[in-house]
Amino acid sequence: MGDRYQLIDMIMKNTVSELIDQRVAPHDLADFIDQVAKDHRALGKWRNYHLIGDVIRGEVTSTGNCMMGRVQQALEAEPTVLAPIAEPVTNNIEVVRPSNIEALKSAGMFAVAASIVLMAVLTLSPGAPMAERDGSEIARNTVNRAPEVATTNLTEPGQQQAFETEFGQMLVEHGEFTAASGLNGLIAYAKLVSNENLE
Amino acid sequence: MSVLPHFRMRKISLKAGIRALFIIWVNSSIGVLYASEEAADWLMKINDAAAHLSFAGDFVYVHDDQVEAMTVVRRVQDGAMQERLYALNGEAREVVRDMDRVWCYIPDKNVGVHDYRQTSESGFPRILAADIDDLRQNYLFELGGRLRVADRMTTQVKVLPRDNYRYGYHLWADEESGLLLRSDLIDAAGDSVEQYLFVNIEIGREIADSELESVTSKDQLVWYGMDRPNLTTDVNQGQWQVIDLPAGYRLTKHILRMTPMDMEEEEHMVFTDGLSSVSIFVKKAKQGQSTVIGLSKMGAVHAYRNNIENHWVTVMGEVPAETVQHLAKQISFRQ
Repeated sequence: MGDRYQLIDMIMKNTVSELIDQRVAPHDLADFIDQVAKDHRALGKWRNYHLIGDVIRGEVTSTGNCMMGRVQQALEAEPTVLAPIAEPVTNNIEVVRPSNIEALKSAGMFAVAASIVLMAVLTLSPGAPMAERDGSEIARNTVNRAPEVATTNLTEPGQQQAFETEFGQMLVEHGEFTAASGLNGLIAYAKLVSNENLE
Repeated sequence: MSVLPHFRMRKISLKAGIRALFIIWVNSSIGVLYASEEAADWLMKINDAAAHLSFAGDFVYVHDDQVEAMTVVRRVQDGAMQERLYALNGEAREVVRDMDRVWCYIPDKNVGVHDYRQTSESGFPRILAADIDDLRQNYLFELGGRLRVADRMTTQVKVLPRDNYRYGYHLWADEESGLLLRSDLIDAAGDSVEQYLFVNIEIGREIADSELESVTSKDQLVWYGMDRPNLTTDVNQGQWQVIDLPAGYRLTKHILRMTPMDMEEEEHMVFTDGLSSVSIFVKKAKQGQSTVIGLSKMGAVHAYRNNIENHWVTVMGEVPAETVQHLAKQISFRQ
């Protein structure tokens, strides 16, 4: 059953992408709509894609709890490709969902919210390759020698954004658990407020 | 003239010299110890002031060759904290928070985000959750000079790391209240990697309700958010363990959660030495998934990602590169 929905998910992602690019033939589209209409869960996913698209395009104007709930559901349901292409993993791995998934679902919602903010606020650059910089630092430091560093440059804008978003999420999660033990109480929220494009 | 008296004189003078040196050494040691104790006292004052004082002021946050100017208003009343942080340049982004919740206003994106905080004890600019004695295992405390910051006199406290697994802190505390008015995060080369300092501040004055209200109306934004507090599951023994921690670091949190964007199970471990903290995130890799491997840097934050046993292991924290790399090498799947 899980495989079926994964397959639908993959088909849908491709089709939505192609629809956006207007590369779907009419008969393919009809077949697709027919499949989606027969399946309640697939229909929900289809709505989610539309909703997220509307939000991204700024076409959603209503506010209130109902809207918030829908957006939240959409974000929960929408899988996001977080990582840019660098070192593909070829192993066949099944994603295992725990039985208490519902209880756990809300755990990351602060980060969902924060990641939305971070996408808007933070430019978490992966930075330049660190090997040279570390080398010079380690040369001054005989106590600790850093291992070799392999950093991949991100060339595609989408990859960069995905990278930033994922690391932004982690940064906020990290900050939430460490704010009381450091100066991060200020810095974590200052990062949310800061305008990265300041020149 | 025999040689003996001359020798005796030399011997006496040598003894006197040693005694004098010993006295100087004892005095200087006492002085160093006293300064260290005084520095530790200042750290406690800073901690205490952050927890109890209301204030309002403007500060600059400097990182990665960028300078951000912000206003902060904080009110502590009956043990409860409320705070508003507001960007002075660029878009009028702001964060309003209390002990339990946070509201983020992003007017340039027409978006607002509200949520429950995971740690209500989080504070600004609070430091030192651990005992000073524990911190002494990993840091040296020194008292620096006096400096005028935001038109107030401050005393500098240097928190110097004993090894390269953590940054140093140069802190300037208000002499009257103990509030932290300037903070520099210092790397092993002695360079500042992140800094903030107040340019003006009013401490202890009454904060009106209106000062804690956002500039942007809530009605103007599309809001994302939660209607209940966040939940996580604490785990006593996760699937992953770190074999050899850097000196002074200890595990303070180990939870299981779902990743927010793709709803996948993830282990999250938090390690701290009392000042510096590092997180490790472990998530199962998916078929065909790819990501960046290696070291990344964002201001004072370093992150190192690796693939171990078909899992993505990401180590992240406001610590030097050596620390995240060390932890990335020491984490293993529990058999």
